[in-house]
Amino acid sequence: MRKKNIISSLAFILIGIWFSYLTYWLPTRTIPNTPGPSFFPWVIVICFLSLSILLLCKNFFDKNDKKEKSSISYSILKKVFVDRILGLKSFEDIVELAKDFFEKKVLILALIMLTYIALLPFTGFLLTTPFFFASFMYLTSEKRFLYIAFFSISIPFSIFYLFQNVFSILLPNWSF
Amino acid sequence: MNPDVYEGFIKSAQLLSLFATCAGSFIGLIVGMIPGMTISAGMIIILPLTFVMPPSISISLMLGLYTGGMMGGSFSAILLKIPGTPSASATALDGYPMARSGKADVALSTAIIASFIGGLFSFICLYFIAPELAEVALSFRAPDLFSLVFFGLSVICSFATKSIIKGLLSGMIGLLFISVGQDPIMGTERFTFGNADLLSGIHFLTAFIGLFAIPQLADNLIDSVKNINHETNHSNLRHLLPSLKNLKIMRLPTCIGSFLGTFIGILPGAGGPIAAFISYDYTKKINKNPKKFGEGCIEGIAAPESANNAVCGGALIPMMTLGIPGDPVTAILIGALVVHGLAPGPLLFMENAPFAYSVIFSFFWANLFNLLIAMLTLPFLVKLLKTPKSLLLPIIAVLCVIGSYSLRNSFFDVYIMFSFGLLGFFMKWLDMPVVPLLLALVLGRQLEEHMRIALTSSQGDISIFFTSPISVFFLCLSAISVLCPMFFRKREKPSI
Repeated sequence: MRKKNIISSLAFILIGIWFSYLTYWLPTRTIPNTPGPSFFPWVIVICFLSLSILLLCKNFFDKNDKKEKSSISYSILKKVFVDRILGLKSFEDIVELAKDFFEKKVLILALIMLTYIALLPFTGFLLTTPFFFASFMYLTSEKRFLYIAFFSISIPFSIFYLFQNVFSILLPNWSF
Repeated sequence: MNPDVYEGFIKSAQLLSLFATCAGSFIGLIVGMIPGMTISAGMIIILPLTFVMPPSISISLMLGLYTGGMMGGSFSAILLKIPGTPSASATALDGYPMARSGKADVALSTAIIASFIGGLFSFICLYFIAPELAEVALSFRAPDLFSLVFFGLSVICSFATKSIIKGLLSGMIGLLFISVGQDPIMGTERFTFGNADLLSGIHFLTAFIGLFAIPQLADNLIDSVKNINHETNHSNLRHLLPSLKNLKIMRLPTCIGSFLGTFIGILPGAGGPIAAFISYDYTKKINKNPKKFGEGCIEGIAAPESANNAVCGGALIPMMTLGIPGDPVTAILIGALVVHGLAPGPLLFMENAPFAYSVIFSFFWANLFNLLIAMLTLPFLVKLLKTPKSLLLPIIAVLCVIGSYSLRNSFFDVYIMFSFGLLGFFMKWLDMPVVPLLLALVLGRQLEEHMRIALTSSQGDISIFFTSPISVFFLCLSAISVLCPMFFRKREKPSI
């Protein structure tokens, strides 16, 4: 958890600096002695940066957490920023963190979902959803192909009918 | 009788409203019962269906789902030792041992009756407290409202999270997102990068769908891949009416749970799980034979179940009178009201009192329908626990996409939903709570508006927040809510 906290706090600090840059270019107040459009974002950005730095310091200097399990005993900063730059054995640590972040099936689900929502505006609900549905069913270790075929066609069509005709909610159509 | 109360009652008792409440309760019982499905996910999924309904029917449906979900969570807690909702976690401690010893019917009937009584008690509190609180809230000015919203956010960030810094960071991320779009006072574009879709900002319901439903889909997918099959223990569910002896045993724990649950429900950030455990713990401490807790005793089921349903009514009090959600579910209810052009807050009781009372009475009907539906259909409902995940998960995924699309008929919202889903993964990986972010999205705009109005009226003088006694009171409460957990956690072991 310490490694994750340090990486994330560094990422948050970078995001905070980016937001500060964007906020700097917002229009300032036009009426004297009144907060302008940039006032609230500045307050939030300053609080956000302060908390990120606090999280970094707390984990960086936390002496109680030295027994965190790791396949390699180097500290994360040395692994990522020193050894990586020098090309030593740092990839293992990054892979360990990445594995923790993404289970393989979840990664596939994310890709399938991304493809589905990318295609939806062009191919419409009725054409794309059965394929998405079937892929998802297969991903849940359902192996009966007739079962997959039946439900991946009947359920999306039922949902389409229900939403369009019963609830009068328009769903994306074929747009070629 | 007050004509607004009468009109509200008639509105809630119309056939269509009653049907919607009944349907919501039934769906809620199913949603709450299925492990992996939370009440929030269920409400998010049916939310798009409510866009085409009149507001009173839409809210009746959602209230039915809310209360039904709270009761339904206990069924899987008792039969599978897996709480269907986090609020039912304490119920599993005594419910499952009782079911395992062949008394599943006693456990379930206790849970159903206790839930009903808890809900009924909180309805009475809601009916009497809400209008009075709305009148008091009308006298709040901009600095008071700012401090109140600030208190609501700070309590959620500090109390409801394991790590205060991460809770506050999560809230800050939500407030950063709320800055995207047009400035609420002057209409200036902020952080839109020239994208017209971002002018209206990020719809918080889209964020809700992404942050709640997508990570949950992933968790359920992992469970289904690991072939985690849950053995149910429901051999004897014929005798669901409790005996007089059991009703007598239930009296005191149900009263304790009802009172504690209602009070805790009023506090923002302290939801069903906290109420259930505090109620269980207190009932155990005052019991003559505390050792029987954990081995399958009626008191151990009645106390948490009455508490978690009493929380529903308690949470509706600040939601309706102050516009402050006590938990993600009431935040979704606020979203549902906003979509219909109704703003929860003190003005709801002034400008639309019949509607406000119809919501209160719909809550009563929802509790009644929960009791009836649970008693009549429990053997059938339990069979639904075997619904294959291979069907359930894709349906939920498709409904999430449709839900986010139909909010504004925009694909951009679907992309935002997906992005928030990825953010949800990232926050889960970091062990960062999502609730503060969501509530910041709901309350952030109000926070900024009240702050800027207050500072504009005082010509930039910040002391306006410290001159009003109400504002000072809420700011002190905010400071206590952040400092107290820090102090108590330092006495244990801090974990960040």
